[in-house]
Amino acid sequence: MTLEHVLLVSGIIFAIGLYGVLSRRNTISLLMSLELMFNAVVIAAVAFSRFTPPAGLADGGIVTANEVRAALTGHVLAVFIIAVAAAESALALALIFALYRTKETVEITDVAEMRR
Amino acid sequence: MNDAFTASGIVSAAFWLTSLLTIAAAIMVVTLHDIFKAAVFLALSFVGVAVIFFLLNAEFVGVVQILVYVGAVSILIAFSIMMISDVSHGSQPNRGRYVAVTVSALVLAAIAVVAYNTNWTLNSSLEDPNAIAGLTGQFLEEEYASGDGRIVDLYAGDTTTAPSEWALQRAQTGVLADSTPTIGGLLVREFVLPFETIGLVIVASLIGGLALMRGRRNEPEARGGG
Amino acid sequence: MTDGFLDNSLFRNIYCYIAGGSDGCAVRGYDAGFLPSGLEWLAFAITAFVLANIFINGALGGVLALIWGERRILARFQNRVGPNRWGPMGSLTSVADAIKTMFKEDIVPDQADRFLFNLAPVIMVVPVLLVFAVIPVGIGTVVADINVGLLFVIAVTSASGLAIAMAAWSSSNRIAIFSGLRAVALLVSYEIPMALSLVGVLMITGTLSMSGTIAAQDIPFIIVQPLGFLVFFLASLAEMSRTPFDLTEAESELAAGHLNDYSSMKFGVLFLAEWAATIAGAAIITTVFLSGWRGFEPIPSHLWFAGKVVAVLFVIIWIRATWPRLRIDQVLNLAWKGLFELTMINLIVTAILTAAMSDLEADGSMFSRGELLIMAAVNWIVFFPSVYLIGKLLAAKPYNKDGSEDLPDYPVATEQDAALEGAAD
Repeated sequence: MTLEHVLLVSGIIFAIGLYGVLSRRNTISLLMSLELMFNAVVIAAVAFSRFTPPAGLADGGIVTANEVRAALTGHVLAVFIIAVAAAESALALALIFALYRTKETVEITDVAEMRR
Repeated sequence: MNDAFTASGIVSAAFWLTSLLTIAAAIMVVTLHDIFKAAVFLALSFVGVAVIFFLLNAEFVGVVQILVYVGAVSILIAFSIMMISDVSHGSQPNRGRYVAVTVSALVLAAIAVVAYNTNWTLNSSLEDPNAIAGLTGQFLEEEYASGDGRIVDLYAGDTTTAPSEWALQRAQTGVLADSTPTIGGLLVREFVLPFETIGLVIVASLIGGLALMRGRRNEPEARGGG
Repeated sequence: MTDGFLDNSLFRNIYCYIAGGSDGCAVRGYDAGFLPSGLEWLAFAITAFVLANIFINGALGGVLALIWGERRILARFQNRVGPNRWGPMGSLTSVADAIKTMFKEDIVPDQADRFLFNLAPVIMVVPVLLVFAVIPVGIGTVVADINVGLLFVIAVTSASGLAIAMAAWSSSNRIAIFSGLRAVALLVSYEIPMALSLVGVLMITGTLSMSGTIAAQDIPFIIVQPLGFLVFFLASLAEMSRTPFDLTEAESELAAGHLNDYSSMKFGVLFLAEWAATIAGAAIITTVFLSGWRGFEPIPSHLWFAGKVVAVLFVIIWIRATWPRLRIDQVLNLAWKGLFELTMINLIVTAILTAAMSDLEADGSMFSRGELLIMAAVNWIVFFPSVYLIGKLLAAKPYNKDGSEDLPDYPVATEQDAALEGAAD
């Protein structure tokens, strides 16, 4: 398990999510694919945090608390992404409900008034 | 170490196994026709990602992942599928399917090329126990112990304190050391502004969701015919 | 890899008894075990297997005992005898029931989605058993003392909603789907006050680990955090769908709810998961609010823990015998308009108190007994008016605001109707 391997796994999941977003018609499916893409990004953030040791280790071996905090920034970024993704999915599901209520459909290809 | 099976071997095996499971579940999510089953596989891939976080020593992020994604997001999705119950169509692919395959394959190729061709700084030391210990808060505990505000490198530095047996073990496994207080401190000190902004975003989305769902309540069929 | 686990005394005692030639065990003063050197991986696997078996079978035994105890106690409350035939005082009744359940015919409905239908019981039972892994049941007796224990418990228990949704959906049965919708709405709503009520405890202890939480309780937190305890207790009753909130299985409306189409061992597993969840909830309440295994000396810590869990379970059964079931709108109102506000009050008061009292020069995380007592006093002063206020706000309104009597939509026989009928005869 090296940084490259984790990034590769993250990239594969991202690509799968991208394929889902581009190829599905059901809005709930779209949302699920989006969540996969978010997850891939979070994996990358955590992986960078895990495999980038504090700078002090390279020279002299003294690590200050600030450097440790800097190394853990990736975790904080991950928590932020997760929080935003949760808010986004709640809002998206509300939108899907509203769409279903007015149009009686959840297929994104059926909602094309703006194109004409 | 006489306890012959080493940490890195087990962690690597577990990582590849989990990754395969997660990727398989993700593929099921985007290809399955039955949308409820897709939601279940989505939850499975969320769990797999959480296990990857645990293997990356990010247990706080892993637990938050289970709490938010498995406990809330996938349940919400399942709930809305049950409510909408327009699943007879299932989840069908649109016409741009092959374009989608091409685009995502290209994106994956780009990511792989960048990941393998970049000379990541210091990534050679990822098996270095010091690095792992530093990332999991081990050094902070030593800081409190020495009390002079500097963190003493347990292995290579001019050690004022001999590394304890416990500290050495923690440095080698690195799994159970505690990074949670540091993340908490980061959230409310360095990153307090983004933190508050996220709170604002969540409140806004909550109010937005309520406003969207409030709707018109005066439809005649809302009152059950008696 | 094993060295991290060797910090855990429970694991160490079993592992070092089995494994020969382990440095970690030799350092800690254990004799070499009976397996030859080089087979440490086998010892590791055996130890893990034995530990898992002890805890899972303990949970299962607890479930059998709880079912028997609940039936006996409920019978007492209702002036009946209860199960009394099989075993002393009927104590083997639930064993007989379990055996009977196993030998029933396993039916899968024709319309059911077989994959999800068979998967749902497994997903239901795994999170519940995972909870038992992080709860210390005595001094040093815990499978995994992870440092995010409290968060882990909340996260893992929240996964059961998905299992209920799966069970309901895959049965393709309207009654089951209604039950599933109710269950998911209830679980999602009550998760928020449940998690927030623990934040007050977190502020005082400064740690997420279970053993740290127990170590900080010089005074049980039920005294220091009355509001937090009230909210957590009610929310966990809802999470395990116990009586005032058991509308997912309201017999008169939904029969058995999402369990309707299950039979045989799958039903057994789902049933077991529910009852094990009750025990797990009682164990969490004990650990977080009743100071876990702590107690005074001559009685061993495991007995203290068991006694407290049994006391909590008794209160839960008592509530089942006493309170009527709430409607779905009342349940959701209670979560969003009642418990949520109470947790907010609790959070604000606790935050002010901890900020005022924490001594930043000292290690800052632990509070002394005196400080805890002051906190308890303030919290109790806040407790009564806020609960009274929220209760007033939530109290049932008259059917019409102007007090006029308006008949409901469904036909109701009135005295005039009866008189008219009499006249017609």
